[in-house]
Amino acid sequence: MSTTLQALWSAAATVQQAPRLWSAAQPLIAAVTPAVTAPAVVSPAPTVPFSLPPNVLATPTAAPSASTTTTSSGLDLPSVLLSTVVFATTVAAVIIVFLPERTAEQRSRIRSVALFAAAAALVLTLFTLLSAVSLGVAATPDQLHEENATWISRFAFAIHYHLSADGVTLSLLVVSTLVFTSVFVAAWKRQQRLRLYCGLLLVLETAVNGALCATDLVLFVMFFAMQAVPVYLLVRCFGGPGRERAAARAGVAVMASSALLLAGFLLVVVHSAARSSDLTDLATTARPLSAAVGTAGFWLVFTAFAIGFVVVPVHTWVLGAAATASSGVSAVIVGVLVRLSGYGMIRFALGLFPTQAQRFGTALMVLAVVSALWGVLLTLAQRTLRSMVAAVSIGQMSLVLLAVAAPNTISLDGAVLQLVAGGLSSALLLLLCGAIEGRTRSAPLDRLGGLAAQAPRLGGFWILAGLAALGAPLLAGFSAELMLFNGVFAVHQYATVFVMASTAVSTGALLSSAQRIFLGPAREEFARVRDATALELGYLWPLVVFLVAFGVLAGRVVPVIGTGLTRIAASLGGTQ
Amino acid sequence: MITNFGLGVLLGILPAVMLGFGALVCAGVAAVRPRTRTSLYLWVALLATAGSFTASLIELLAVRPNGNGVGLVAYGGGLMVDRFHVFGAVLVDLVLVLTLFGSEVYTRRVPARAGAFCALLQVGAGAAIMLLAQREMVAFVVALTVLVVALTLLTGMTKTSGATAEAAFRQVIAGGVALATATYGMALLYAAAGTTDLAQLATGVSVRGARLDGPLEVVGVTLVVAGLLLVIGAPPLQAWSRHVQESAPGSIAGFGTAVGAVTGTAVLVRFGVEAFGSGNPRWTLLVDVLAAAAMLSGGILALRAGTIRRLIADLAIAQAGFLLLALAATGTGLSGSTVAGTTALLFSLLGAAVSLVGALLLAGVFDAAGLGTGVEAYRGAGRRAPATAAFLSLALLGLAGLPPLAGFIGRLLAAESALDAGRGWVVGIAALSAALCAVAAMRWMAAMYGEDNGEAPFSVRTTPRAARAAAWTAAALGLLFAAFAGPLISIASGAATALH
Repeated sequence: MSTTLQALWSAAATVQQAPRLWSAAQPLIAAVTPAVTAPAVVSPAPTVPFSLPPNVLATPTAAPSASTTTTSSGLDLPSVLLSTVVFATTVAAVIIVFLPERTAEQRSRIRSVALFAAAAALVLTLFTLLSAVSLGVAATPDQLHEENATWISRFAFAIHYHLSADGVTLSLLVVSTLVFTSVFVAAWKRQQRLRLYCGLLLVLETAVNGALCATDLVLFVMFFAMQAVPVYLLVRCFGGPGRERAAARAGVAVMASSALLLAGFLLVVVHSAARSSDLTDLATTARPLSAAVGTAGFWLVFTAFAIGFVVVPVHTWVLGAAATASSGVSAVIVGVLVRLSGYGMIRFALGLFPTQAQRFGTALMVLAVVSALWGVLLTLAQRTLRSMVAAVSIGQMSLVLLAVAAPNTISLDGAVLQLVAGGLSSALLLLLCGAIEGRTRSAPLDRLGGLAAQAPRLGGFWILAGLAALGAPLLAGFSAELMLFNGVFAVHQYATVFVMASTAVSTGALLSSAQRIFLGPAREEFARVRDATALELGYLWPLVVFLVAFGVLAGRVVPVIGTGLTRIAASLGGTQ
Repeated sequence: MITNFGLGVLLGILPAVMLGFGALVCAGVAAVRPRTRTSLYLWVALLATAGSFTASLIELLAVRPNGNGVGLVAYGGGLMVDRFHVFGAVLVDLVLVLTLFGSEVYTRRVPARAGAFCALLQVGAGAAIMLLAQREMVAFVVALTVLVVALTLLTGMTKTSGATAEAAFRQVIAGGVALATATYGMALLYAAAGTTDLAQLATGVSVRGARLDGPLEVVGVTLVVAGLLLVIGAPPLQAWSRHVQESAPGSIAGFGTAVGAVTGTAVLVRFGVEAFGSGNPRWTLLVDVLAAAAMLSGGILALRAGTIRRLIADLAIAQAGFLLLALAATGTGLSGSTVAGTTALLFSLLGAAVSLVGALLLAGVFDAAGLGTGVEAYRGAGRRAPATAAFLSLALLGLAGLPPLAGFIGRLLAAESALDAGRGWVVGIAALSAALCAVAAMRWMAAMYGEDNGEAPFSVRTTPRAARAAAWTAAALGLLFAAFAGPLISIASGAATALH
């Protein structure tokens, strides 16, 4: 009964959302139709039933509204788009719990429900991002679909159900929803324990998307900590040898991150005068934190995110989980969860404690250099495909950490784009690892070779993904690394060169692995290996398309990302 | 406030009277017609609970016009009907309803005792509700005695094995010691202050005009706190509670521990805030230390739990620690709030009660299906009974305090209150305990959703549908309470305001 009610509610909410969707589509339509361009949006034609509120275009850098947005039609329609993105997968998970999985048809039904929910979240996210891109810097995207309601008010401080999606959030939401959708497609042939697998992944997607959209500290922690159980069970139940240990470490890492985050956030809330855990309230009404509280809060929050951010020396759990879990789960962990911690680092460690981040910039720079160096050594030392990909991500994240150590508008724009590019390329590589391991029975690197003869398409994808990780032109990583270099070099010259060089070495090693895997004489044991199937192409191509799209359209995407960094950049003062 | 004394007293005791009446009917029918269908007792008890709930709502209407949340004061302050009492009464009614439905498997198995069983459940709930309205120490002792006797009889009556008999015996001993300790403490307080009224005790001055800061008073406070902690089953006095939860049938264990925790904590709050003074270090330091001990020991023990019942018991001990953490933070903090700690405690009680009852009922469902209680027996249960395992996971996560369940929000509020009151060191221990509890709960979930152990399949249909539905509902309430945390915290805040 409750499932039916939830489905009905969701349907009603979508119907209710229709006018807003139409309203948000106006600038998109205007952008792709030259005859009806910007003026038509600013002054909507009388025949258009709904349009954007004029102030969205009139006040490009206005602070986000604290109240729920409305349409200009006079109807007070609350936006539920972000809630739909976040909770569509929860509804699907609840439905799946009650679906049997005995026959092939029943399993197919489970797959369909999971894929439909993930794809729906992806489509809605893409729609929002495209409408934001079409607006460019004319409006902050978080104004378009903000949802803000007081959740708990009668306490020492107020907690809000506050979801918003600025450029930073939207970019990473695309990565999250796309990777999850790809993982569900990749699981299309899975027969064993499908209900548990899909259910846990759906709950995990809710946690990630919710954390990305949350604009309230407590709400963020709730979503962030929600990752712990699905991650633990996914690694524990669907991993290879050594999964017990890897799962325990992953579970403890997420729990420790959440506990540290909670402690740091509570410290901020208690010692600020805002009486609210909402980021907007904290930014506008809170009194400055004392030096001691600020320092303690910064290091608590930084350490919390550093655990998930694969910063040396707290990086080992990611390597273990990526090497042990199934390829889909590894793709989610390295491609999405690690990037979520990077997002948190920029949004919260930097956004809440700009003074402390600048004061301890040198320490962060040293950590970035150590991580980059360690990442290179680890990459060169790996003997399996997946652990090599996971080790490369340490280098990628050290670039982001370097941007946090020297924050300015350009470096932060580059850092966010790097999170996007790294997430997509890592997910692509790990899903490819799954495909290759399935064909070679998880043979170690030194026993692979000559696969190109049997699987040229897989080889092509691998090289493309390696190039994306390296930051080749026309791919997303190129713009990201260029901006990072430009932004950070002026502050930490030697460190920038060292970290960039280290990352190039590690990704170069990854790229050269293509030679070991695909080139050379064909081996007899792999003579019956088949090339990528239609199903595999179905989940590999979208990732490639988005890697190229973010690279080619970086000029359109970066301004949108910049709108999300306006407040952080402003709080950094003279360093911009 | 109601001015008619007779009407006021009737209204004040009406929720408990309704349950008492139901108990009388059940006991009478069982005595006169022993072969009556068990469902009759169930319906009588449900009707009585509905009556009790309605009476509580009427009390709420009486309380509503008063800003201070107090609707009735009778017998010189001995009987106090306020929002705090109504809050506790409704919670006890909720636990009773869940237990009545969840007990169907037991009443069907032993129909001859169904009448007495339902009667005792109602007597226990009625005594708990009466206890929540008392502000006079002698009345406290009387109501506490009735409650302890009813709960002990319940465990003793439903013994299904030697272990249950031993648990009942331990409960008798613990109940007696708790009563004696609390009574001695109250007697010492009476000797120091010359009054049994908590409100007069709170002034810090005896009726003879002397200040209350001597050793007699300190010993009295310590004994009262220790006695009530024994009722709650908090460390270091938790042994009886663990045995009951391990040995008694799920529904009875759930009712006993949940009602014990709700009533014991609520009474402790009334004593702490109204008699000892909120935020007074005379007792908050002791409670802080006990909270830290409970949280740590509960978390560590839970990690080593070998059976599902023991896991639940250990998680409940850690939960009791979080309740004490909130209790110690009832004073004024950095943000100036005086009710935050009490509000956090009352909301935590909501989440803790439903999670505890849900977990024990669901463990009872697996018991009835013939599954063992060890971690090996639960291996693969997630595949063989997916819905029941999912709800048990939900209940365990609620007890462990993981998001997005009410247990997490309760712990968050408790930690914030403690931090606000300048007790950072206990919050650090609380964070550690939360992590330990989470790991312990996840360990069991891994077993449930891990590989099948290859044993013969079982069916949870051995438990009647209504009992299973009650167990599922109890577990799902943790999620519902989290979703509607705002209004519920407002209600808890209103109840807390009545005390301060």
